[in-house]
Formats: sequence, C-alpha cells, structure tokens
Amino acid sequence: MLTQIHDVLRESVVIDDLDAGGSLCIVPRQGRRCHAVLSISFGALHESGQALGEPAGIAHFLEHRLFEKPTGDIGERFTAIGADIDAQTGFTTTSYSLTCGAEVFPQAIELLFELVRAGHFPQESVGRERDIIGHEIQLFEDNLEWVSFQMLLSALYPDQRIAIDIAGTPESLLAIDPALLDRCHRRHYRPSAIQLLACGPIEAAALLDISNQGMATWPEWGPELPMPTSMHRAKADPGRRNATMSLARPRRLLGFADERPRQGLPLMRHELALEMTLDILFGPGSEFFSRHYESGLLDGESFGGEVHMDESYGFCLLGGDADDPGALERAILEELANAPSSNWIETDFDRALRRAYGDMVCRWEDVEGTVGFIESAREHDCHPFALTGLYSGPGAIGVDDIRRCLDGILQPDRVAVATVGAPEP
Amino acid sequence: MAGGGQLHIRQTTRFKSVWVDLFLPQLLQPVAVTQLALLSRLLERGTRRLPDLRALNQYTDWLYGAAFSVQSVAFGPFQLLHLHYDAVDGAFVPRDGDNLLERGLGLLGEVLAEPFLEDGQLPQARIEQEKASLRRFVESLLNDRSLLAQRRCMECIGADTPWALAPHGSPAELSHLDGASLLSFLRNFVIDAPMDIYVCGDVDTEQVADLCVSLLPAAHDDRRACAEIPQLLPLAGPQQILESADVSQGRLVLGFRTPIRLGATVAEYAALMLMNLLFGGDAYSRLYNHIREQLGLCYHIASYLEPMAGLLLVEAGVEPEHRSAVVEQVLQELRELGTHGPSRAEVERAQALARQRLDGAEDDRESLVHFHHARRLAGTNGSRLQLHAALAAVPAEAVQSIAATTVLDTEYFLGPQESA
Repeated sequence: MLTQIHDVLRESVVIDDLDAGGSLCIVPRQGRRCHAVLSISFGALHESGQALGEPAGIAHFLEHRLFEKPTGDIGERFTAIGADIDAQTGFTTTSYSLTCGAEVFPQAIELLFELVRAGHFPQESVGRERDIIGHEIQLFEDNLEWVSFQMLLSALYPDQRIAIDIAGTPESLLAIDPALLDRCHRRHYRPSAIQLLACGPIEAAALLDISNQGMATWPEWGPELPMPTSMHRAKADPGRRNATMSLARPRRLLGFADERPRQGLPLMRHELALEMTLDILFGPGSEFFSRHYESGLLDGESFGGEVHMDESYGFCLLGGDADDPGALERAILEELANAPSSNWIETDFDRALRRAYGDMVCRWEDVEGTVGFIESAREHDCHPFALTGLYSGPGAIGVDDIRRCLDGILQPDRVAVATVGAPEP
Repeated sequence: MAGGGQLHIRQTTRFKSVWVDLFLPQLLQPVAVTQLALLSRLLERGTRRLPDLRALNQYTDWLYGAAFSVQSVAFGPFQLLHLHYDAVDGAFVPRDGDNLLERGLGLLGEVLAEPFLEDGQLPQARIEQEKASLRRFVESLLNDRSLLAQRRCMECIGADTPWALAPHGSPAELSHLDGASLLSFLRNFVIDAPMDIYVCGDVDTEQVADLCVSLLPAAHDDRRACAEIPQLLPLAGPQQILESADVSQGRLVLGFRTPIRLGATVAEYAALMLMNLLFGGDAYSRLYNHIREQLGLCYHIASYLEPMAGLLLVEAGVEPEHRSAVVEQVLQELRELGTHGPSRAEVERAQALARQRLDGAEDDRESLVHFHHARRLAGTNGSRLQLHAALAAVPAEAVQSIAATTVLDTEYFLGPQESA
C-alpha cells in the first residue's frame, strides 16, 4: 500500500493493487460523506461492432441491466441503507458511483461489487429495457447541449463509433439479446479492468479488505472469449454538419482534433495547455470575449470551450449561440490565424495559469470532485499528485506548451463545424 | 451586523475555498422583477475601479480564478438578487493568498455601491446591450424543453400571483426601463432590502464581521422585514393545459397541491419530504418502479417539491400516445398511497435516504446556505438536527394522510407539434 502526502494540498493518496487484479486509489479525509466510483475500462469505443457480437450501445445497455438481480433491483438495497447509487457509460469507461454516510460505506461497497460482479438477463426485461433506452434516446434528441456535441463529433469523426450515440441507435438496440449481454459482461467485466476510487472518512486497509473479498468470487470469464483488444484511435476527417432543431438562434461549434497520440502525464499536460490556450484567447478575461460580447456577436451564456483528451481521441470545441453564426465562426478563425503573431500568449500566460491553479485546488474540495480528479489521473496511469507539478516547479507548463497547441491543433484549415438550428439557406 | 443585515458565518476547515453569498430579496412583482433582472446583469459589467467586463474578469482570474456572479433567482414567491464570490483559501496558494477574502468582500461591496457610471448614470450603451442579452436569454429558454414545461406549469398554477413570475422578468417590460429609474431603484434596494450574508470556510469570524461592516454598503439600521408569503388563489378544480412546440418527446408536468408548506412544523414538513421521496422523488420510488420499470411507459419520471407553496410536481418525458395512460397511472398511485399508505420498508428507505442527504449537506455549502436561507424567507426556523430527528419519527399514517389530501391542480403537457 503506497501512501503519498501533498504538503500544499494537505491531502494524502493511497494506492494499492487488488488481489484478483485491478487497483484501488483512496483519498482519506475527515467529513460526513463518502463517495466511491467503481470504474470498468469498458466504454462505447471498446464495442467491437455488431458482426463481433457487440452492437453499438451494448456497454450502456449492460450498465442499465446489471441493476436487475434475481432478487429484484439492487438499487433498492442501496437506497434502503441510505446510499445514492448512479451509473454512467462513457467513451472508454463504465462508472458506478455511490455516495453515502461513513457508517454504511462498507455495506455499500459490498453492494457495489455485487452490482457489477454477475449479470442476470431475463428475455422479458431485456425487451422492456430496449423500450426504456429508446425513450432515453428520444429524450436526448431535444437536448441542445447533447445534439450540438453529437453533431460536432460527426463533423470531426464522420462515420466512426465515437460519432454514434453512446446509447446506440434504435436499430443497433434490436440486435442486443440476453446471450450477447452475458457474453459481453464476462468478456469486459474482468477484475483487471476494475479501478476503485474513493474519498471520505475511509480507512484504507479496511476498504482494501472489503474490495478483495468482493472480488474473490468473480465468475470465470472463460477462455473461449478473446481478450478485448486496445481501441483504435479515432481518425479525424473534419467537415461540416448541420442538425435541424427549433431554437431561438442557431448554435455553432467549431472543433479541432489533436491527431497525435498521447498518453500518461504528457497527455494531461497537453490537456491543461489546450485549456489554457482557449482561456487566453477566448475566455471571459480575453480581449476577444469582451469585444464580441459588447458587439452582440457572442452570447455570454452559451459561449465557451471544452477540451476532451484520451488515448483514443483528442479534441477541443469552441462556440455558442449566435444571431450570425457565420460571423462568429469567421471571428474565431481570424483570432486563431492572428494568435501566433500576437503577444497575448506571453502577456496573459501568468493570469491563465493562476486561474487554472485555483481551479485545480478547488477540484479537491468535495468528495465528488476529488474522486473525479483521481479517476482522470488514474485512467491515464498518472499519480494524482503528479498533475500538481504541472502548475509550478521544474515540470511546470510554459509558454512553449501553449504555442505548440496553436501550431499543432488550433489550425483554421483543420476546423470541423457543427451547426444546430434552422437549416442554412 | 451594522446596517441591518444578517451575517451568518460557518467556520470550518473542511473546504479548500471560502464562499460568500449575499442575498437581497423582494417579492416577485411585475416591472420590479424585470428591473432587478436587468440590474443583475448590469452589475456584472463593471465598477468604478474595474470599469469593464475584461477588467473585472481579469481581476478575478488573478485571484486564482475566483468565481464572481450576480444573479436574479427565484425562490417561491421571492426574487433574490444573489451575489456570489468564492476563492481558494489563502493557505493553499503559493504566496500568502493576497487577502483573497478581503478582496472578494470588497468586490461585492463595490458592485453594490459603486457600479460603473458615466456622467453619474448607468451607461446607455450597456443598458441596451444587456436588454438585448436578457431578451436573448428569455428566448433561449425554449432550448430546454423540460424546464420550459415546468415553468409553464408553474405559470398556470400561480396565475395572477407572484408565484407565476420568473426571475428573469418579462421582455415586454424592458422598453419602459431607463438608466435613471434603474439607478434610483438600485440605490434604494441596496439599503432597504433585507440582507443576508453567508460566509463559509476556514475564516476568523471576528475578522469577517469587521470586513463586512467596512466593505459592504452602509445601510439603515431598519431594513424592511421580509414580505409575508402570498397565497395561491383557491383551487378551482383541476385544469388541463395542452401546448405544442418543436419537441421530439412530450413533456408532462402534473402540479399537485399538498396541505403542507415549508412554514409548517418540522414534523409536518418531514412527512411531506418522505411522501415526495417514496412517491416519485427517489430513484426507486413508486412512480419509477411502476411507470418506468414495470410498464415501460417512459424513461424519465420524477417528482419534486415547491416547498414554499407546498406543491408536489411530477415531471416526465412522455410520447403523446402515452400521455393519458401516464396521467392515469400517477393519479392511481396517489390514490393507492392515500388509501393504503406506504409500506414500512418504503418509509424506512425514504427515511434513510433523506437523513443521509441531510447529513451530506454538511459537506455541501450550497445546500447549507439554501437550507438556512429558505427557512428565513419562509419565516420559520428549524435546524437540520431537528429535521433529522423529525424524519426518523414520521409514521406511515402521516405520509398516507398527506397523500389522501393531495389534489391535482394542473396537468400541463408540451407535446410535439402534430399532436396538438
């Protein structure tokens, strides 16, 4: 069990391997609440496709169906002890998260392992789940944030899995049956694919014991099932995509792919550099933001940028709602074209770094934020404290990192453009 | 504290930042609501010392990305001018923290007392920009169909009362507002409205009290008291409102009147909380189990409370062909709960969850502040400890009795265009 202490953050991190495979990362601290995430490295991008028995949406379908056990919905047993349980399927992981008081935490962790350990997939409930997920997909078709994000993925990565809804499509859902769910569960929910991350008034040794017990009776996954292979990196082919939706004004998002594969700390360093680049050029403290807010070109509520980085994809997006989306797009691209020769990067670097440092510290504030922080670090095989070295000291991020983002990613001629709203004339 | 405001300090080492929340409420009323909504935006645009958006945003960036906002929000029949500031605790930054709390309280004081003026007036160009921006904001409410349906349902339930008004005001009233009237409204509001300030973090309480007195605007010692809570109009019988928009899936909102409000006794309110949780508020409630899991009629269905009015609202994403079935099932579940009451297991589960969430609020400053301030506005007290104890003592009969006397006020449905 490896414990490290951070003097400035006044936090400690405990990391250990689980006996059956997988690992554990804990931030013990005083307080009332505990939060834990059991993360399985199986997400939409791992799905091998319909021909290989893993239709689009099966990771998400499985996440929903694992709650059903022969004795009923296991979620009710969490709420019976006062624990909140939730689950989420992403591109590269499926996460089961629980929040509860310290006194029931051990019981809740036992339930968490029971939740993911074994599947129970009666035909009838699989059919009903298909309907429920169908309703879910339809519900999201009205969600502007979701539709615009999805459109941008289609513009960046046309026809690739990343551009298809994580929940699948009505057609792909039809192909999912109990046998496929069972096979998929045994293939991907292996002990070595598990990470448990937790924060709160937790005794690390006790949690390690419970976790090892929870994984001691893991079902055999069978030699007939091939090991999952690593994901292919999404290949960008930027273009333009439009979706029609009745809105007060169109939303336009510009996307830029990072086409260079990265991993570990360099990946996280690059993620931070890209976030700071967007802040310097387009953030609330930028000249661009105030000029175009005052002219009315930019809508203060919706305008902003995001960075998404992983080993299998990397991109950032930027934009918002505008009466004249074409003018907003031109203004952004012009700013990017002029950025390498301007001195914003040098003059605003320290301000952006202070802001980023404050944000990082605040992510350690509550149990959910802390678990989110250590989860993203562990996903990229980093020690959570290694990330804090990016803000000061010899390994700190510098102006050159920002310049590399401008030269390598934010190229106006490699932009993908998504528009949601009334069709363009 | 001096000035008639109430200062609430929570000294704790649990967090890595210090939060300041300042509230100035008024009853939601036509014109004034729009005035305050517009002012909240203008106050975010600059002060005498930090004259424009960029200066202000850069200032907070240098304070390690401190968050600063001025918002007009609603709670029940009240509109609150809510100023928020939070910054990293000085102990976690490389230097001495640059007096981050003092600078924050100073900023809030400046924003209220010294907004940016040109020739003694709020700049006309900014007023026009913010009017346009507020209009755009109201138009963009259409983008979130669920919120829109909830908003419309509340407008129908609270028609002709403050309950119907939204904190962003009405764009139609914007043309009447000019710089002089806005400034005079602000000057009066800042010294007259009841003020509550919450500071939470690892702070020295005496120092905070001194800073508040010296940095926040001076005021009358006799700020007016919070207004009485207005009543909804008497129920005339359930109303059904069917509207349509360009939505992929319909949004159903059912508004029920319960006999309990936040101002009731702690025991009564605890029973209402449990009734909501086991009926539709918890992930494994009756509505979820029956309507989603057993009947597969929808993906999302949940209930929530409007505590000041004692309303229970059920919201669901529903296809038009399933609307009547879902409404009938919700009513059936309510009748069932009112006739037979909840099972012991249901009550115990809801109690465990409610108490866990209440305990969890200890780690969540937004919940802590909301819990306290909501009760001040409702003119009641009752601590979290009292509520915690009351939750444990709620008998199944109390839940049943609320369900039996809960009546439908409004069925609101926002359907796809072809279904209207």
